[in-house]
Amino acid sequence: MQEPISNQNQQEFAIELNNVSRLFAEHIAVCELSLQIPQNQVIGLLGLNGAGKSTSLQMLAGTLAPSLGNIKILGLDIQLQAEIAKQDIGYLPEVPPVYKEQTVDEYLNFICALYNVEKTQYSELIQKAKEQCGLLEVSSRRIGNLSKGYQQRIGIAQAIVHQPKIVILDEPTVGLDPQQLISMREMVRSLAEHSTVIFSSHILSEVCAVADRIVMLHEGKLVHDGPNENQNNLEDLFSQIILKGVS
Amino acid sequence: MQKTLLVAKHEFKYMLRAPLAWTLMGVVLLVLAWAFLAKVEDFQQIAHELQNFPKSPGVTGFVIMSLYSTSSIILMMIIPLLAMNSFHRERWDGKMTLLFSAPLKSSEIVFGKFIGLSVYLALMVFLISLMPLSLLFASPVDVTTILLSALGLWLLLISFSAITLFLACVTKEPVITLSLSIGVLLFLWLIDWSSQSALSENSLVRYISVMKHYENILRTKISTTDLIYFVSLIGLFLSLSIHHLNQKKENV
Repeated sequence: MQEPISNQNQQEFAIELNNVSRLFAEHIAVCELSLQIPQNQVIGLLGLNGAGKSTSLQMLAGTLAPSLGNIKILGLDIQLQAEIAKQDIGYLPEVPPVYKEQTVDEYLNFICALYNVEKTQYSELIQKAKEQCGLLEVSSRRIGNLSKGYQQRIGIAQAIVHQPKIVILDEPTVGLDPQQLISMREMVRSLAEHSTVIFSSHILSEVCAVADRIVMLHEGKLVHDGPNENQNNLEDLFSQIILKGVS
Repeated sequence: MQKTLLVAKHEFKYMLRAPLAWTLMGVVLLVLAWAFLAKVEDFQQIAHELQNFPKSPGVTGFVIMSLYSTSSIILMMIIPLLAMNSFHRERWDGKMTLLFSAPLKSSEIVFGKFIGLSVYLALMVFLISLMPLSLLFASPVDVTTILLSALGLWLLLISFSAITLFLACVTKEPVITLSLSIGVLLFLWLIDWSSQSALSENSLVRYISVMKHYENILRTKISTTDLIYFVSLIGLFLSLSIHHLNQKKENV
């Protein structure tokens, strides 16, 4: 794989958000969010629907510009040095971005080409991603003919096939059955050996099962940021947020 | 350039698999084949009378120019359907995010899609041109006229594609894109339609009219002005599309 022009050894943090806000007209989707995420950590982004999780992840992936503040990926500004920074990002959006008329292999080949993977490495990396996501038996099937669960797994495979240093997964467990959910958790843990993983969910138990650190958002604001311990306190806080929303 | 070609190849491959692209190509060729055969029949009926006139149009003027004129009018309605799909289908199922999150420049996305469409349209023009070329078996035909007409038609179609690509970038609703595209293309086509109009005497209006430049090429009177016109039109709308995509992330 071609190395981006960045001195990654000198980077203390894999991801840095400095007072990041995002406005949609007059609505504040994310408000002054600041985070420093070290390398090889698994971050669970927790929050109810509309808390600002997807907006934050879109800004991290460089598909949406912050209205205020800046984001650094491995020391590179995601807006100013977008092409170089994006080389090291794997992103699964809310809707898996798959081409339904392609086969799984064709699609993953296209992703490798998009991310400048050396041609000689294609088959090895694609094989590995398919193994990790349980796609070996559907390699030559058309994506449009596969179930929603498989399409979700293909979406995850496209985010990890080029072995990025940052993996961003927006609601990765949607559409997965309980067995796939367990393998998904194992996969996220294994990704953390070489990558920093940040994933979102609105289910507390799901986040607690995998994350090293839990970041909770509510109405675009950071309400909790800490290690994955003392789950009772987290449950209380999350319950308060849910009850507030209901009332 | 490598990424542009990757996007172009991907776009062209998609079109080869898409039912829409094949259906439209089939319908267009069927309608044009019908119009072509009707014109050939007309020519056969009056051919002996035309021989009495020293400057008679011959099969080239009578059949071939008519075929390419009809092609341009039919395809003016079809191109917006094809070109708008290029961006809107990505939006519908979230694949635009894939291209935006990849290490790609907006220019690589726009040029890639445009080149993919242009290759598909070259295939369409080639298939249309097989009709007049088939006349070579029965009658002497001016091959240069056919080649120049094919080039003119292709330039016209890719210009229409560039305009529709831009409109697909700036609008979210496919129906709006379609309406606007047909409106803009008709405007460029009809701007100097009325020979009585004072407007048609205006040199700027004459230069803007796509019809004038296309007719020049069909009459084998191609000039650098015509080529510059088409290249500028394409360049302008592709640049606007790139600019809009760059701004899009800020304003979504």
